[in-house]
Order: sequence, then structure tokens, then C-alpha cells
Amino acid sequence: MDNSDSSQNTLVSVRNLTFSRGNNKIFNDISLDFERGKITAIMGPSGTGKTTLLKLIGGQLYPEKGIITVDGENVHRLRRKELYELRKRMGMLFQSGALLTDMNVYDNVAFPLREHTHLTESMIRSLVLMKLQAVGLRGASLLMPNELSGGMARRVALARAIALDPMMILYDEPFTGQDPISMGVLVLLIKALNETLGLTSIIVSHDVCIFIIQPKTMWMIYYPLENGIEVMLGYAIANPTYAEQNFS
Amino acid sequence: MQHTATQDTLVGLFVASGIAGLFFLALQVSNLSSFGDKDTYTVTASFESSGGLKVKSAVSAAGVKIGKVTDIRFDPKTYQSVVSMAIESQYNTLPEDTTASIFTAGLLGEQYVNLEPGGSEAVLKNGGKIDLTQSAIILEKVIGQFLFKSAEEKAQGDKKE
Amino acid sequence: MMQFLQNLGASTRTSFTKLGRATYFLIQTLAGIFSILIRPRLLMNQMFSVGVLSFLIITISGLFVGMVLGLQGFYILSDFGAEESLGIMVAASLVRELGPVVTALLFAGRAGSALTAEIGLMKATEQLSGMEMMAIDPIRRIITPRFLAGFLSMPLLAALFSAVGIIGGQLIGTGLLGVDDGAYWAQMQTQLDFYDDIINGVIKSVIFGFVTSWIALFEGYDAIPTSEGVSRATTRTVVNSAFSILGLDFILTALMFGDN
Repeated sequence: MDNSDSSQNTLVSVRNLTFSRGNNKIFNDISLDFERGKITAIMGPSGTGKTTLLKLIGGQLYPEKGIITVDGENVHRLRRKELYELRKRMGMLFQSGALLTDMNVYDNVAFPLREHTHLTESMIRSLVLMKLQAVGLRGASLLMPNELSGGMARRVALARAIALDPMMILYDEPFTGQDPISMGVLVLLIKALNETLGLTSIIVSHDVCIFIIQPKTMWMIYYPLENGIEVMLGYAIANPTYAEQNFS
Repeated sequence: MQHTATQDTLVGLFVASGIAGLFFLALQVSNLSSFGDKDTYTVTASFESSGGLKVKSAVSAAGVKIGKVTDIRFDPKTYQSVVSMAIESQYNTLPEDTTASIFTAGLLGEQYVNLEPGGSEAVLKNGGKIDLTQSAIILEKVIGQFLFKSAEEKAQGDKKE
Repeated sequence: MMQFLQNLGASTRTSFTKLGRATYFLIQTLAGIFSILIRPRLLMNQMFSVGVLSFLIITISGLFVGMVLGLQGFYILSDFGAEESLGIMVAASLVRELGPVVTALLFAGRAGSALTAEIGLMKATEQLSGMEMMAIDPIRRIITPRFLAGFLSMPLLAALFSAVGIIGGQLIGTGLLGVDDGAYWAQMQTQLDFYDDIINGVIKSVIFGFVTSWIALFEGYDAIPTSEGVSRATTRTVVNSAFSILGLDFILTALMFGDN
């Protein structure tokens, strides 16, 4: 495994991570880096701990061994308040969208702004509409989450994730269950956000469509052992320039 | 969020009716209104027997409740039952020679202390003592006496014949 | 035999672990109270869904329970020629026992199960995780307001239940069965003590509100995040709340009314 020097360009670094659920060792001593301002994809079959990895990065789960640093801070050593400060600079797009079902689209996007800032309602309004505009759903602002299609819900969730202008977004299976058109919309969105806002993006997917997004780096998860206990992360399509070579 | 005003009204109504319910219980249902923390003075009376009298039993005069029993204890020297009563301060004209009796409301009802004013000029003060008392009527005793008496009468009647 | 003991040990340990988690959860919930005081709007919303929406079921049940007490009490008391005591009988049973207990049981069924399902589904649909990732503490934002609302609503609902019940008893007793209206009220006024009966009844309902809200919210928060897990958690809320309410009622009654 190639542990390249943790240069200034690394936003998230995972070092010697070990984590298990029950008796199942999901990660065994893995190390990964995620480059600042770039799209990094993680691909692998279901149940290999891709979502778990995102939750570890977000500090929702604790590793057994190993260190995860985000922007130079050791996520699992932070005090609660510091962790929450760090999370304000991270956005996460959940598989299901995770919209709050008792509020409409507008209030969902306004939610983090209202919780974390003291902006006036008119400023919140223009910010929310701007974010909704960015995902192309400005007209849907008064709909309730149960009135949205899966793809729309995910775009609203994306608008909410960028509401606080984070430095990075973690995407958990953004393409699952999408029709080709809304998938195309999402792909374009993710790329546009990455380029225009300079966001670091970490995308986790089991879907080969992830190639369309032209990630800078691609990590592949696979089972090296037959009994499937040990799972490893590594360069399967081994080099970081892979995507560039193929798609640009 | 647009329902906020109606929602506020409904929550307000809910809280108000809950509090109204509490007030209703306090004032209409319990004894708070008839006898709360009003000013009282205490008098004591010794009875041969206080029967089924309890703390918080009523103290009344001429059928009107004017106070309540606050303490009942056994005096080991006189072998009597010493009953302390808190009487509302507005009824401060009870004469010293008031008689205290323990009555029963109805045949099987609660027992209470009845005060019957005498003719003295001096009135009872806080900590005063009522000397004239009449003990509780104990139903078993009365029935026993009645049976004994009627048996005696019957025996006498038999003799006469 | 060994196997049985092992199983017993394991399940005991699991229940202690769960109780430990529940206690930790409660402490976190209580720690969030201060932040609610800054944002009373959150509490208002929950007072609405917990309190106001339980209002109807509580008042209607209270009315009927009071009317039944009036009827039954009358038939029993008239055998002893003591119909005059109907008021005290209805009022004492409502204020001391039925008010707090039946309200709490109805509350567990109406609001408690709804809270568990709501929190459980929020967990299942990753809304709680989502909030955490937005740097918003779901316990403070979601759990604490609901807990406080349940805790505050319960005594109000119980008082309403008792009050409506007493009026229901009066409707039947004096309206239908011919008990003297004055006797109905006077008997309860002389015999019910404000501190011993009313306040103790309120204390009971406060404790029930605390326990029921705690159970409902914890079961939701601790639910396995699947549809089946949430449905089981909802059942557990109702069952555990009922047991706790009745068990606690016994203990509280023994403590409060025992030495009279």
C-alpha cells in the first residue's frame, strides 16, 4: 500500500484504521488519503463498510485502532464542541436524503442556517433560494419531503448539505435507485459543486456509474480472502490519474 | 410554520384549561376554600374517650364547621384523651364554659367535635382549655346498656306478674 | 441447567446494559433543558403535538369514567343508604387514583407510542444521523423538547381528567339519580384535603409524565432502525409504560396515603 506523504494537499487522512462490527472485522489496518479540492471515489460491493467509513470520518463511530484526521484535526480526539465545529465544515449526503419529514423543502434547507447562524430571516431566505437554485429546485421550496421523488429528495439534501458552505461533502451512495436522467443531473451537480465551490468530495458507491463523475482518485474495496472476513481498501485501479487519463 | 399562530392559540387553550382544572380541583373539590391557611387559634379539651375521632375531623358549633382537630394524644397521667383543635380566628367569642362533645354524623358517619357555648363572659384564648366535655358515644356500649336494661325491665315485669 | 443459568445471566446483563443506556440517555436529555429555555418555540411545537392532541381523548375518557363512577357508586352506596357520599367517592377515586393513572395510561397509548414511532422512524430514515452530521445534537433538538412537553402536559391532562370526571359524576348523580347537589359537593369539600389528595395526585401525574416520556423517547431512540424494530419499540413503549405506571402507582400510594 502506498502511503504517500501527507502533504498540504491532503484534507482527510486515514491511518492504520481497524474497525469491526460484532465479530466481523470490517477494516483491518487500512490507510487512505483524500485530496483537498478533488473528487475521490470509493467503490466496492455492498456490505464492505463504505458507509461505515464515512461515519468514521464524520466522527459518528469510533475506530478500534488508527487515526483519522480531517483538516489536520484528529476527529476522535476532539471534544464534543470541537467535533461539532468541525462538522459544520462537513456536509454529508445520506443514502435516503435524511430530510426532516415534518418540514417542507425550504425549512429543511434553512434548518442548518437557523440552527447555527443568527442571520435575519430575509438573509436566510435569499441563501436558501440560492442553494435551491443551485440544485435546480427553487420551484419546489414549498413541497413536503414525502411529495418529492427520490432524486429530488437527494438534490434537496444536497442543497442542505451546502447550506453552510462546507469545505467537503461526503456522498453516501448518491446514485442508488436513480433513473438515468436524474442520475445525470446529480453527476453534473456534484462536478459543478466541486469545480465552482472548490469542494472536496468523497463519493461512496457500489455503482459503476461512479466513473461518469471522473473522480481524481479511485479506491476499490474488495475481498482478498476467500472466507470474506478481512476486507481491504487499496488501489485496485491502481493509479490516481486513472480517471483523468480516461475521461478528460 | 405557517400554522404557528393557531398552534399557539391551541397550546394556550390547553394550558389554560389544564390550569383551570387544577384550580377547580383545589377550590371546588378539596377543602382549600372552606379551610385553608386561615388564621386559627388552638384550644384543647380532654375526653374520657375520643372514640373514632381523627386528626382533621371537623369542629363545629350549631352545625357550622368552624375548625378542625389537629392533634389527638393520650395523657398518661390522667388517662384521658387530649384533643387539640384549631378554630378559625373569626370565631373568637366562644365562652370559657363551652361544652365540647364528640358526636357522630348520622348513625355510621364520621365523628366530629361539637362545641356548645355556655354563658360565661370570658372567652377562650389561644392555648385555652375546655373543661366541660362529653365523650364519644361508643355504639357497642350503648347497645350493651340498652340490652342489659331491657333484660332487667323484663325480669322485673316477670316478677310483678 | 447450566445453559438456563447462562441464559438468565446473559439476559440480566442485557437488561442492565439497557437500563444503563437509558440512564445515560436521560442525563443527556436533562442536560439539554437549558438550551430549550433559550428557544421556547421548540417546546411550544411539542406541547401542541403531545398535549393539545391528547386533549380530546383525555377529556372524553374523563367524562365517561366519571359518569360510570357516578352510576356504580350510586348503586353500591344506596344499598347502605349513603348516596350522599357519592361526591366524595367519585372525587377521591378520581383525584387520588384514576385521574393520574388512567391519564398516564391513555397518554402512553396516545402520545407515548406516537413519540416512539416518530423518533424510531427518524432514526431509521437517518434523520438523527443527518442532524448529527449537520452539527446539531439530536438529543437537544429533538428529544429534550418532547420530553419536557410530556412532563409538563401530564399533570395538566390529569387535572383535566379528574375535573371533567367529577363533573361527569355530578351529571349522573345529581342530574339523573337524584342525589342532592349540595351534598355532592359539600361531602367532597369537607373530606378531600388540598395537600393530601390534590397535591399528591399532581405529584403522581408529574412522576408518571416523567417516566412515560422517558420510556417512549428512549425506546424510539434505542429502536433497531427498521420497520420491524420501530414497531416492536412502539409495543414495548406501551407495555413498559403501563407496567411502570401501575407499579409506581402502588409504591406512591403506599408512600402518600399509607399513614392516614
